[in-house]
Amino acid sequence: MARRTPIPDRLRLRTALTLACTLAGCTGPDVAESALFVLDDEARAAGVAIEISGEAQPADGPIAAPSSAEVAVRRGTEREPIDAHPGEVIAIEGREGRVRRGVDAARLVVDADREQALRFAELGGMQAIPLADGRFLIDGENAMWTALLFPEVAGRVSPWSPSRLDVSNAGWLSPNDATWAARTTVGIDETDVQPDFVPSSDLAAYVGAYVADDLVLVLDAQGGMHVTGRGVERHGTFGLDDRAQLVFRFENGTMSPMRTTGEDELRDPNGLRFHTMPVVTPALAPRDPSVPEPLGNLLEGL
Amino acid sequence: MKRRSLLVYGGIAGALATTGIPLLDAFAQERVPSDGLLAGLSEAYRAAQRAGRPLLVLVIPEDNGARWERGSALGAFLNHGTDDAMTAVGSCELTCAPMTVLRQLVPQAPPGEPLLVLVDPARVPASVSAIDPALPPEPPYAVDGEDWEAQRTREDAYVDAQIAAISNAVVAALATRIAASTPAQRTAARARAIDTYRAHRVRGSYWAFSGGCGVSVEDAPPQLESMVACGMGHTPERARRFLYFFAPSGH
Repeated sequence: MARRTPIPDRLRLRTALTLACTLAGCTGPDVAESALFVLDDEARAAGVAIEISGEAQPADGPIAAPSSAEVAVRRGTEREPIDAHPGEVIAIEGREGRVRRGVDAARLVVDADREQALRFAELGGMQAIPLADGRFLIDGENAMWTALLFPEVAGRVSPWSPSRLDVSNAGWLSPNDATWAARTTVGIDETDVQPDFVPSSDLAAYVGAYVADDLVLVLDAQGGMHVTGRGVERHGTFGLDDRAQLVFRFENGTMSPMRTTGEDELRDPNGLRFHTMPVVTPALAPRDPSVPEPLGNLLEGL
Repeated sequence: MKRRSLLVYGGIAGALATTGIPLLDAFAQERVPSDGLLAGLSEAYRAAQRAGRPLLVLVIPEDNGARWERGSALGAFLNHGTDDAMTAVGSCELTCAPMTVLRQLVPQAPPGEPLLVLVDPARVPASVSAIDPALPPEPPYAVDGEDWEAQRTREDAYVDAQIAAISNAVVAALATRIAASTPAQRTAARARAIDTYRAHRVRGSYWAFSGGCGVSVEDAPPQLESMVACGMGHTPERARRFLYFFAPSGH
C-alpha cells in the first residue's frame, strides 16, 4: 500500500479557516453566489477564454463568476453567454471550448511536479494521485474552491473528466502507465480508508464483480480481469505484487496497482472507485393484462 | 417435475402454439438483467470465500420449460433431502445462476448445463466440478386403468427418486469435506441449511408453491402472490414447494 502522508495541522487549520471565512462571505468570492469555470489545456491553447462582464479572465485556475455577472465563453470572435447557477462548476474543454456542466467540484487535475501537487493536496487534506501523463489528480472535498483560493499553490488546473477513461488517454487503462508504481512514492493520503481495514493478501478475496459508474469490472476465478462499458473493453489478469498489493496486468503487458480501501472497494490510480456490484432482487411484476391467462382462458373456452 | 397443471394442458398448449398465444411466456420466470444475476453470484462467491465454504451453484437452465423441471427437483431436494445431504448443503454457500453468468465469474466452469456446480473459492484459480446426477425419467401423467391413489403413489416415488439422486450426488461431492468436520460442525451445517436455504430465499430464486392450482410466490406482495389461474392438475406433495428461478432477460 502507498505510504500515508501526514497533513500538517497548521495547513488543515489554515485551509479550514480560509474556506470557512470564504463561505461566510468575509473575503474573496462569495461561494454561495458564485459559479466556477475551469478550462482544460486544449481550450487554453486554442485561446478560448471566460469573460465576466466583458472582461477576459486569467485562465490557469478556476474562475469564480458571481451569479449577478454576465458570463460568456469567447472563442475567437464568437461569444456564447452562459447562464451559470450559484455553486455550479462548469468545464470548458477542447479546442472548440465545449461547455460541460455538472463538473465534480471534488476533483481536478493539476499540471505540477510531485512536490507542488502534494503541497496543494495537503492544503485541503486531499489526495494527489499520479496520472499516466505526468500530471496529478487532486481528489478531495472542495478541491476546486481550494484551487481558487490558493492559485499560487495549485498552479495550472484542469477539470477532471470521466472521459479520461477513454483508452487513448486513460491512466490505468493507458499503455504508458507502467511507471505509476514508481511515481506513487509521492505518497497518497488514505483518509478514506475504512477504519481498521487491512487489505487482503489473499488473491482469492478479490474475485467478484465490481462497478464504477457504468464500468463493470470482473475479477474472475481463473485470475482473469475484464473491464467493460463506456465503449471500453479491456482484459488481462490480476495478481499480487511483492508487497501483497493488488495489481492489474493488461493484455498489452502494462501493469496498474489497485488500492483496496475497504472490504468491497477497489480504487484505481485515477481515483475511480469500484464497488462490488449491488444485488438486485427483482420485484415480481404484475401480469400484463394484454397477455392471455392461458389456463383460465382455456377453462372458460372449453 | 413439471407443474402438473401445465401438463394437463400440454396438448392444448401445443395446439395453441399455432395461434400465437404465448403460453410459455406467460409462465416465464422472473427476468432480471444478466448484471443482476452476476451481482448475486458475485456476492455468493465472496461470501463463500470469506467463510471458507465451497460455493454450490444451482444451475438455471436457459430453456424456460427446463427451469420449472429443475426448480421443482431442486426445491424438493432442499425441502426433503436426507440429513447427510442437508449437512453437505449447509457446509456450502448456495446460489442460483445460469451457466452463461457463472462462466463470467468462473470461466473454468464445466461445459453444458449440469444440475449443480461446486466451486472451491479458496484460491485462484478456483477448482470447479460438476454435480450432474442422472435423474429418473418423468413418469407418464396417466396410465390406463390406474386409480387416483396409484397415480399419486407413482408420482411420489418419482419425486423421492429425484431427491435421492440429488442427495447422493451432493453428499458424494462433499464427502471429503464433511468427513473432515467435527460432529458439532455437521450439526451446525445441517441447521444452517434448514435455517438459511429452506426458510429463506436462495440467491437467484424465490421459493414458490403450487399444489396444482396456481403458483404462489413466497415473499411476493399479496396482490401478486397468485401467478396463474387454477387448472385441473395436481402436484406431488414433496414437489409442491419449488425454486422459482430468476431468468436472464432476453431469454
